[in-house]
Amino acid sequence: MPWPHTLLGRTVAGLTVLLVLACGGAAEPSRWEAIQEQTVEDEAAPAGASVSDAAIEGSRLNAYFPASGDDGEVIFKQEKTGFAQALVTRDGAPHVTLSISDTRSNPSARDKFADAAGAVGGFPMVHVGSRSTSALVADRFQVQVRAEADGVDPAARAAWLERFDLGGLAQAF
Amino acid sequence: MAQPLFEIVDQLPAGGLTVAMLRALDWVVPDTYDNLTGFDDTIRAVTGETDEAFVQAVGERAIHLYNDRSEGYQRALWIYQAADATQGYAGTAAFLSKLGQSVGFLGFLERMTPKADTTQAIDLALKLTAEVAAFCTLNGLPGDSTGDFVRSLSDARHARRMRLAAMVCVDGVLPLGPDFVRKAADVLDGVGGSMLRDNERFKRLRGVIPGDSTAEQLTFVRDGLLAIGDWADAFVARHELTADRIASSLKGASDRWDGRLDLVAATLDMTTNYVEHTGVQSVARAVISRAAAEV
Repeated sequence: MPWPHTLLGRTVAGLTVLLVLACGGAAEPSRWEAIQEQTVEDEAAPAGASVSDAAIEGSRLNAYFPASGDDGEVIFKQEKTGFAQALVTRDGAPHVTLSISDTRSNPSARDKFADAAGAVGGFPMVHVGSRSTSALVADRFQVQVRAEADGVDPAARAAWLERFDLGGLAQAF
Repeated sequence: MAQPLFEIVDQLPAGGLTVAMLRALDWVVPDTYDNLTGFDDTIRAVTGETDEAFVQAVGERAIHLYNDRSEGYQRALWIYQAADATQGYAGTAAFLSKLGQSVGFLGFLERMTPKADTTQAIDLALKLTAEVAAFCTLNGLPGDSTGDFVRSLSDARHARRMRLAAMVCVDGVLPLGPDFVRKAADVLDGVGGSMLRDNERFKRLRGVIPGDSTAEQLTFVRDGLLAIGDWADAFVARHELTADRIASSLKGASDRWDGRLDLVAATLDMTTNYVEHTGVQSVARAVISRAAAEV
């Protein structure tokens, strides 16, 4: 079909094509539709909360993070229910993201530690993907290091996990 | 019901006026900002992972967190949307149609009236206040933590850093000059509660501005402006920002941003939505980053 030259003509042609497509068959559902349906809040069916009522306040987790020092500057970012996160910078550039999350809010996160090949401070440790390393403390808190720069290898990430006060965290709550 | 997060991020434009404006200002904060669009691509960029099962798990956790209103991500997004241009494209289209189609963009520019200094100062201060409120909401801090906000400025990254740079350039230096903080604060001194109450932006944002009265809210807004004074001075000096330099980089991006500085500033406010655009990206990054830490 020759494409019209005028804006009006193109608009009409474009709308016609869209109409034909809309009537001719449903578009592929988004990969996110299912989770959206399950978790969207509405008055008729309030969704389950994304965080557990039994989860610890994020601000109480800050004390177990590494302190700023020669290894980098620790800058706290998010503090939410059951979650605390910090960015470590070196010479102003992002180096790693550190976080502690209370798996009471997301219990399936514990599954990956069942066959953990590694350990840190006596707690199971796993490497996830190409950039993250996590430990499960006291079967409850997921402590994670995520590389934000090239060259932060699994061993370096494990070293960052050791800088947390893992023992203190295990005893505290 | 709020629009689903993945739709909002999927609908971010890769081109258009706002993106052109941000690109034109890239020289101010180079190697800082990637115009990340698309929910899936944002997950891959924020996590650095491409494994589809991982992307799916992170995206699902992010959507769950976003949909839970008590976690504050929807509120932050709403604040960024509310902070932006009063009329946006709807206003522009209505205005153009009043002039008649034959006028074209240059004619439109001639018919724009510059915003009065008072309006300019109020709008800058309110955009900044919105940034403070959204920052506190995203990070889980109390809503009046201006001190925490100011301390966080030097570490701003990605879309946030771009947004702050654009605010300084387009809403600060361009209309009010390099000493825009003090100029805007002086102007605000002469603003009464009624003028604030009549401002379109204030009407939308008043619910998130601390203060039991308009007078208290005006004080919070003005104090927030003054609090960033040192940071703003240093930023302007470090990047040698002048209204002319900013204007010429905008003109380089598009002829439609050529002309009297005050008209250009007013036009930009009406036809771009950099606060909302980069705000969506900041919210997406925060919730995705958390989701990646929790799965």
